[in-house]
Amino acid sequence: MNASEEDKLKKQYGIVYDLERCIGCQACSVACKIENNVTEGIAWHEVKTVGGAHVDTPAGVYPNLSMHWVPTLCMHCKDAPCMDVCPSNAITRRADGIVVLEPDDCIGLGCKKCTWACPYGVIEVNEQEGVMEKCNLCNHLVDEGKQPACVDACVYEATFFGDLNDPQSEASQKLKEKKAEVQLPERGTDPVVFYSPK
Amino acid sequence: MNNPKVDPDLNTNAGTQNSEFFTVGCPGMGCHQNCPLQAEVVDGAIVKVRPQPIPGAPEETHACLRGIASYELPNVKTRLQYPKKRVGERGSGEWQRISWEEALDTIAGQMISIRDEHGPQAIEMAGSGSSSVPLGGLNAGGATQRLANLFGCTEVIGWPVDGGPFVAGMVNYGFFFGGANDPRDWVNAKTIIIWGENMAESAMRDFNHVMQAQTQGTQLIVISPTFDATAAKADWWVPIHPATDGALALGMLNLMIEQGLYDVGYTRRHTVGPFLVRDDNGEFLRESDIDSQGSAENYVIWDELTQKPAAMPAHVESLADAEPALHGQHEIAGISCHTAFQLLADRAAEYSPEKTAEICELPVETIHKLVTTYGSNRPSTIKVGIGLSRTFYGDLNSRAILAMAAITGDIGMPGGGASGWARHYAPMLNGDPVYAADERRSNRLHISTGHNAVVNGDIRAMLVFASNPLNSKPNANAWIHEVIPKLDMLVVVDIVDTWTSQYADIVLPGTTIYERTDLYSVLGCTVLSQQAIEPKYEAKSDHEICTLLAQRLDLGEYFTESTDELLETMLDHPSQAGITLDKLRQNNGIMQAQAPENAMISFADKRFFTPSGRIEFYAPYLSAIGEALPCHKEPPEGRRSPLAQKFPLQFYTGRRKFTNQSQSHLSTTKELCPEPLLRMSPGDAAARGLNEGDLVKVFNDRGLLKVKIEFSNALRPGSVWIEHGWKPEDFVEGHYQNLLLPSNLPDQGMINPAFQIYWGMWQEYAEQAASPGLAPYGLADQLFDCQVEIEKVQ
Repeated sequence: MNASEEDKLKKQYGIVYDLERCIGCQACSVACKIENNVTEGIAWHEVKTVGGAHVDTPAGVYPNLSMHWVPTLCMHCKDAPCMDVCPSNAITRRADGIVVLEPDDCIGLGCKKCTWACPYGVIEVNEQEGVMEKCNLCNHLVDEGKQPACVDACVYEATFFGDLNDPQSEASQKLKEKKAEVQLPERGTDPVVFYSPK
Repeated sequence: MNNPKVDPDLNTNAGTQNSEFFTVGCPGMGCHQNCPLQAEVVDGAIVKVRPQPIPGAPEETHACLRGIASYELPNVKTRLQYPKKRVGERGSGEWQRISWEEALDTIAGQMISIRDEHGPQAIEMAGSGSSSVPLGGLNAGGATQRLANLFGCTEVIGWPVDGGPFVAGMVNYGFFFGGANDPRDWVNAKTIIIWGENMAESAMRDFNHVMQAQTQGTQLIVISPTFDATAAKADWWVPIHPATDGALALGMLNLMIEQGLYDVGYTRRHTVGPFLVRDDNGEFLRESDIDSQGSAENYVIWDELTQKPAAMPAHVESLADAEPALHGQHEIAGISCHTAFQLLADRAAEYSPEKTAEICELPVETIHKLVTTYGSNRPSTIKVGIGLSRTFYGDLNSRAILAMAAITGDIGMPGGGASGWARHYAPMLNGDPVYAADERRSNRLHISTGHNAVVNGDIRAMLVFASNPLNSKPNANAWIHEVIPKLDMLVVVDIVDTWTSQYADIVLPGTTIYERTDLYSVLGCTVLSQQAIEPKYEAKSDHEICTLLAQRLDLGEYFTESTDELLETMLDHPSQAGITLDKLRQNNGIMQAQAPENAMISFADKRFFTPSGRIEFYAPYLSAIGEALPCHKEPPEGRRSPLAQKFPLQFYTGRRKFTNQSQSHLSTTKELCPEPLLRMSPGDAAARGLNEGDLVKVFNDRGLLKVKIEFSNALRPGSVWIEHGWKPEDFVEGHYQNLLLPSNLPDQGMINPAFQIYWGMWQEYAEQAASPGLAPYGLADQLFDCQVEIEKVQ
């Protein structure tokens, strides 16, 4: 193992969202789409509305209404159920914690086990290509020392990315500053995407 | 995983090895934020668009979803590729590809023959639309205005939609865009009111400052009928009945005066409050009225110390040893007068909390709480929303808000302000090369009268650059059936086919922002919007097209300079302080200009641009129509109008993040919002036996629209809503633009008499203005007061 591999081992990349600052603008979704050239009709990154039944509709009855948004992407779980069920090892965890689905290794539409195993519904079926797909946290950018496209696109100080093992990282700092929770903690998947306040 | 939506040669995962970066001015797409973008180009194609860092204002570095998605613009499927001419009936969709040579020869030939027969003013030059950088650039109306000016064409002045708050700015401050501070100052406000605007979706960069302020403890109040993203972020949302904003402001003003929540000193020194107004004619009392030796320029105040009148010149804050009265009625030289402040107080007194609550359909406690919050928790900033301009009496409503803000003393103070426009200092550019080619001036026509001018035969041809009148003018049916058929020639220059281009005789392919070089200023910077890629297909810039036309119109001598030469001349302005094209190129195309002191605070010196130099909440020139002071009037079309018997639902459109103007051609954003849906409250739907997803017919006497419905509790019951920006092909049938009320009717002229008065006054202002670009803004052409009924399509 060389030095940089060792370095990666010490890392655990994650994202912290400050939902007070998220306005549901979807710049993150668009940036993801463009950066990863995601097939039409498929979204690796979505901004879900917590409110009414549709995007940007509120809960409640006029005028007692509420609405907020939750950016949703692969949670890069430390205990990822998708990895456990994949028969072809198409889903792997990098040393830096990023959970990567390699479509070339996916055995295709006859399986779909990962999509059922994921409690967050973030693994997409690409009917056109016959493979499963998901957010790989723009690891090609992370390897260049850059932020994932969705994080880069957020100009509202709502998204904080970084190494959760590094107390100085933006993400760690935000976690220290604000109470944050993961989605579906009861599933024991140990996600690394945090939301404040949930 | 090839994205089938754009050219296959686009590799969006391109590395950075061969990347080149260009600063490009975002077309704004209707938001007027005009963020400088950074385009990454690999092998002649744009692979990515990110925000360009802003020197001197790093916190303003911004690109929204549309800005990011605009990388696709040069390659959109609907891109116009070559000049074409109509070979079938207008609107038949039968076209023939022609050469630029043939297209330009034909257009110039027609222009000459129309000029010879009817005069050059029979040709209307319209444009400077959404594919352009902000006004001031070569291609953002600059080249077209130069050509229009030289040839003597008619230019359309005014905006289609943005009225009320800007009218109010002109009346109260003498400046359409004055009265609110740089958004970076908003953190200094204790209270921010966003009044009638979905800023979180339509002016996203600005909204960041609102959230910054909230983080630091500022209370955000949103006053709006609709629960949108902005309302969702508010500390307090006030669900007002549409178009009753003036009543609310006057109701608040009444309580503020009653409770002494106003700044007496400021009102004396910086508003027309102490000026005496004649009871007999509503004019300001002048010194010459009471003293034959006195000046007709001077105003008169009542001095409380001497209990006598005293002359007060304009642009003077106070008189030595005098204490101007704010209240009272005085009889001077036989002329009965009231102070303007007394008149305002009397007007406000007509809006008791109970009456205000009834008009605005709000609880009485809300009025009291608003006054306590806004009036005591100061300084307070009000962003008057563009929403207020979309209603018939948007000017009155906005004026009421500005009058209320005036007496707080917060205008011109850190953390204070009230305006429809809040911006950074923008360094001026020398407009000579683009506008004033020589002494000749084009003829001017207000936008709302364009319809009549064609129908009457005054206008015989229209050249439309980067603009889509059918998609942005009210009563589109009238344009299709009454206006366009009267034209001898309709030319459209655009990047994509539009509703308007469908009816054109000749359509020319224009360049996108990424395919031409231009200059503009924003965020305290001068920005060289750089050509990032070669023009796709046969596209040409407005400047090129105008140059080629000029050569055919015997005006070639005025179009000999290169783009660089013209841009250099544009930089020849004192506020550029030595910024040159070379320096811009050495600095990524963006440089911070030297801002004057206090540039952050609008009217920090309290020297307002009005005739009196003060905030003029009283406008004597409107007394003839009873509007010298703001008041509440019900719009001619609304839920309380007689028409509501027949058409009970209020219809309006608004901005949404996905399709701000008619940008529904960007595939990435269209994927997020694939089709138009009419939002209505479940109760209104149930009353009509409608289910979610039903295809419905939305109609009134002007037109119809067939569209699917989606339930949303965000809508005030009794109103239905759809986002602006869809084209006819997006609908099953019809278009919402057919439903809307025009501000001008063929047989009546401008239907709001106040607009006729403003137009008369401000034509003169426009003539005097340094740049004709500073035209009489604020006289909106399109109103959104619109009643409809909805039924299911069987």
